[in-house]
Amino acid sequence: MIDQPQPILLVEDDPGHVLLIEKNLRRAGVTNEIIKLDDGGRAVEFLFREGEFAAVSAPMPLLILLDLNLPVLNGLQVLQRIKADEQTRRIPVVMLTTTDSHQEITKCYDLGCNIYIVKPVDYVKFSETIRNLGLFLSTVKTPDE
Amino acid sequence: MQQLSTKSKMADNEERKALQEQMDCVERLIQSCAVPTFVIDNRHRVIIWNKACEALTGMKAAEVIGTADLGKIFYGFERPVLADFVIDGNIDEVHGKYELHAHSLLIPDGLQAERWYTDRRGRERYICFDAAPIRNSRGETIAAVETLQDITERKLAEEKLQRAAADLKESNEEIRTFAYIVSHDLRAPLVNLKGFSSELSRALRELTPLFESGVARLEAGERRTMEDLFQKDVPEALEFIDSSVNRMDRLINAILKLSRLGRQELKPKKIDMEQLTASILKTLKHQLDQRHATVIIGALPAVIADRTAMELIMGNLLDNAAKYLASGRPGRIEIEAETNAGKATFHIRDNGRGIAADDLDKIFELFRRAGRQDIPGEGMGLAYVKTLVRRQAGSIRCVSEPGAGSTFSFTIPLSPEAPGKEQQAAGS
Repeated sequence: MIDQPQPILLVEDDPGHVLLIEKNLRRAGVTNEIIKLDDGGRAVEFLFREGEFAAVSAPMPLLILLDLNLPVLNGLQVLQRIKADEQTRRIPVVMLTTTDSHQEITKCYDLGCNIYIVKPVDYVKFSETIRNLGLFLSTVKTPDE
Repeated sequence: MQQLSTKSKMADNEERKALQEQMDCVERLIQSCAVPTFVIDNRHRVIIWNKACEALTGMKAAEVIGTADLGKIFYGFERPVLADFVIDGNIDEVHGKYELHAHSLLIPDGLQAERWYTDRRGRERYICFDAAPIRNSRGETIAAVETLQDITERKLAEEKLQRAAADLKESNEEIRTFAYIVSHDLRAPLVNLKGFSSELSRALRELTPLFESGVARLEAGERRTMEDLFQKDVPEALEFIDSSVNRMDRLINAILKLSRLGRQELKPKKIDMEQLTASILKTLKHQLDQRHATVIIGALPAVIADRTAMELIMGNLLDNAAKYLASGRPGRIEIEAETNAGKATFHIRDNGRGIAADDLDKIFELFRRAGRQDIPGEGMGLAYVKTLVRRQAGSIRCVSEPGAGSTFSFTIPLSPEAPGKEQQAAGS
């Protein structure tokens, strides 16, 4: 059984988007810790316990919300690392982006992302999507290994 | 015996004289030729160097006749001239010695090559050299003739054109990348603007009961001020933010779409334009019926083009034609085409409200709309159309008379240019 509830990893470099996503997840009843990182390099370090995260003992995230346009390593590069590693490849990854370019969406799915969310300017739609994701998380438990 | 010998000597002399005369004739022919020309014998010695050659190179015949090392005199350093390669028959070795080289298209076993050359006055000239063997009746190469053409001006013009084309391509690329980046990076702050203005509205709603109980305790004057701020000014401000963000979002989407149309890969396939037009008209049926419009489709040629692009082009032009029909008279839309010199021109003619002459230039620009703004639209349709027509090596124009109608005509090739048609570097 899981002693410590698994956190949610949110990798997003726009602080406004971070706040909006967090608000909506909380409104949907998600109580898990949300770990916020603002670049792709740090996300990889966190997941693989490297650099400043070498000593972190937190459990692996329940879910990763990953922005596509990130500094250091972009979302696709991070996704590639996640899906290439035995330890992380089963963690569901939700890609977030402002792009609805068909090419980029295809690339994300090819690399194994589970859901792709376009951050619409339409906030109602955006908050609904995030809240639905939150509701899904708060009602469904991932099976233990 | 003695007599005989004298006779034969005389005949021999006659023959030699005749031969010499023939040679002189050939030399005079070459001398009077306006094309710089020289001849070397099979031991590489210069035997003819004409006046035009002197004029082009500044080298006098007296300097070069007899030398077996013309290359050194001509270039100022040790190297063969094209005729030397022809004499030796080692044509493979030409490779790398000229900017371009190829077998002559006109002369069997001839060679053609181009190269920069610095003349005696220090001028850089770009020369086209043509060399060919001269053979005797037994087929042995006894000499080689070479002509020189100064094509510097042409070369410079070509280079200028190539540079201009490259510049243009680069700046087109930049514009496309720019539009793409702008569209993406402008969107992220909009998500925040919209998100946080919605959060503000939400906070305001939650505040309302608190506000109402609080404001009740204020005196009348203060209460009115508070109510004005809370119930009028703030919601009004939020509404403006909201509608402006929505508008900005639509504009950005329009730019993004234009940039995508400019980048997406075109897949030319054979298209039955009559069928394509008919199926677009089906989607406009309701609109056309309302205007009691008659549509006439002439004989339209099949083209090899990108289907999505053609649908968008025809779709937008027909949609516009239907949208801007004049009220008060039955609409009439005609679609015609003609083909000429491998190109097809399509005309979409309407009897609608028409476009003022001053507006004709701007209708193809981004976000520009002409005339009364009584019909919703982003002002992007014709910008998309123009982009797609131009991407298919075509052009579009509009002729219009206000109050009488407009004709949009676009021309595209019947099929995209066959690849590899451009001139290729000869022989290399």
